[in-house]
Amino acid sequence: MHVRPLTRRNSEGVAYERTAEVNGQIRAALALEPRAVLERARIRSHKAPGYLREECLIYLIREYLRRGSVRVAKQLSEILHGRCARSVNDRLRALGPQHVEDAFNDVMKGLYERIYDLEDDRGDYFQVRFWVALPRLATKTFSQYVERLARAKAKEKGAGGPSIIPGTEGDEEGGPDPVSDVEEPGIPVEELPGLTEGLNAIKNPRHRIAFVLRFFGRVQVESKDSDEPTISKYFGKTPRAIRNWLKQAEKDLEEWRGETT
Amino acid sequence: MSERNGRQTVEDVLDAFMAAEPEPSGAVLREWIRRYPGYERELTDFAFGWILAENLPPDPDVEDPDEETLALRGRTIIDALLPEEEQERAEEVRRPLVGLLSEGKAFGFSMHELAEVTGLSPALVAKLDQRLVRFASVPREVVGDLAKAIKQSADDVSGYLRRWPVLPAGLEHKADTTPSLPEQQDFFDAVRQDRGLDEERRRRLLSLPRPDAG
Repeated sequence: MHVRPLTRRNSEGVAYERTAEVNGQIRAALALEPRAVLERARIRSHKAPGYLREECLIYLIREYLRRGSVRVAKQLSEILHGRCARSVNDRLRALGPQHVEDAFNDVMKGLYERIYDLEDDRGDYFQVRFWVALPRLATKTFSQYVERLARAKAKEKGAGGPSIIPGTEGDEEGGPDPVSDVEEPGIPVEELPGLTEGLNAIKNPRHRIAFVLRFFGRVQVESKDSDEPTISKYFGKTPRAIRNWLKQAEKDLEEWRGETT
Repeated sequence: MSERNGRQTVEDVLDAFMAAEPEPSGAVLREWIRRYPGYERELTDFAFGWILAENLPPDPDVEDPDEETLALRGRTIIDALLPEEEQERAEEVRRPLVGLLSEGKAFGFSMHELAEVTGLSPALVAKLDQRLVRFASVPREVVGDLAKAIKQSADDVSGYLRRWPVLPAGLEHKADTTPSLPEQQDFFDAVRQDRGLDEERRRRLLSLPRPDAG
C-alpha cells in the first residue's frame, strides 16, 4: 500500500518524515475495511495491540476525504477529538470563564482546518509529532488571548498606549517616582511553587503576567543586550513601570499570604 | 507543495522551538532569536505565552466541562467544516447481511479466526456461511456468538441463515445440467461428523439446547 509522503519542510529546509511506526500503522490500516479501521481507532490504550497513533489517524482522515468518504473521516475526527480535547481545555483554563470556550474552539478549528485542507501541507507536522504540534497550536492561541485581555484591561483602566501625562514615564497607575529607582522584589526560587495558588490574588492581569514572566520564566525586566527579550520590550513600557508592577504584585501576594496564614 | 509565505515558515520555526526545548526561559529564547532574528516578535510572544500557560493557575471560576460537553463542541466544529452529502446519509440505512465470511473479513478475521472467536470449526463456519445447515437446528447461542463477532444483530444473522443455501462458487458453470440446491444438514449432525473439531469444542456444542426441540 502506497503511503503518501509529507511535502512540508522544517525550519532547516529538511522534509518532514513520519516515524516508521506511524507509516507501518498507516499501511496496515489502509488494508482494512472502514469498519475495522474505526474499531482499531477506538482502542484507547497505546499499549494495546492494534492501537493507532494520532499521527496515523490524521493521515487516515485525509485519505478518506480524498476517497469521498466524509462520514468515515468525521467519525475518525471525533475519535481524535476524544483523545486530545481535555488536554487542550486544560491548557487554556487560566483565561477565565468568558474566554476559555472561545479559545478552545479556536484551537480545535485550527487543528481540523489544517487536517481537512487537502490542498495545503501546513498540517504535515501533526503527522510527525502530534503531541508537540497540538500544544504549540494551543499555546499560540493562549498567548493571543492573553495579549488581547491584557490590552483590554489596560484600556479599561485608561492606562493603555501612551502615558496619560505626555513626556513622562513610569507606572501609569501611580505616576513616576522622582526620588529613587524602583527596586524589584526579590523572590527566592524555592518559594515559587508555594506562590502558584496565590497568583490569582494579583489583581491586575498585566502585573500577574509580568510577575510570572520575571520569576517563573526568569525573563529580565531590561537588558543592555539588544537581542535579549525583556518584559519591558514585551509590554512596550519602561523598566521603571515594570518594576512598579512587580512591587504591586508582591503587595497583592503579601495580602494573600496574610489572609491564608 | 504550496508557496511558502511568512506565516507558514513561522509555524515551522515555532514547531521546532517547542520540539527542541523542554521548557522556555529568557536564555533559551535569546538563542532562538539569534538563529531566527526575523521572527523575534513571534518567538517572544510564543515563548512568553508558553511560560504563562505552564505557570498561571487555572481561573477558579472556570468549570471543568465533562466529556460529553467536550465531544459536543467537537462535533459542532467538525460538522461545520465537513458537511455531509445527502447520499452518504442515505447509505447509512442498513444494507442486508451478504455473508458471514465477508463480514468477518471486514473486521480482519480470516475463516480460521472467525471460527476461533465463535467457538466453531472452519468447516462449520463455511457451512453456515453457505447456509448448508438447517436454520431451525442452529442453537441460539451459536447465532449470538456469530452476531457478536461480526457486529450484527442476532435478528440479521438469523435472517441470513434462513435464506436458501448458496451454490458453491462456479458450480453452475461446470455442471452439464442445472445443479440442484444442496441438502441442508442438521447442525448437531454436522458437529458430530466434523473431523476438524476438537473434542472439548464438540462436547460444548452438542450440549447446547436444540432450538427445535419440543
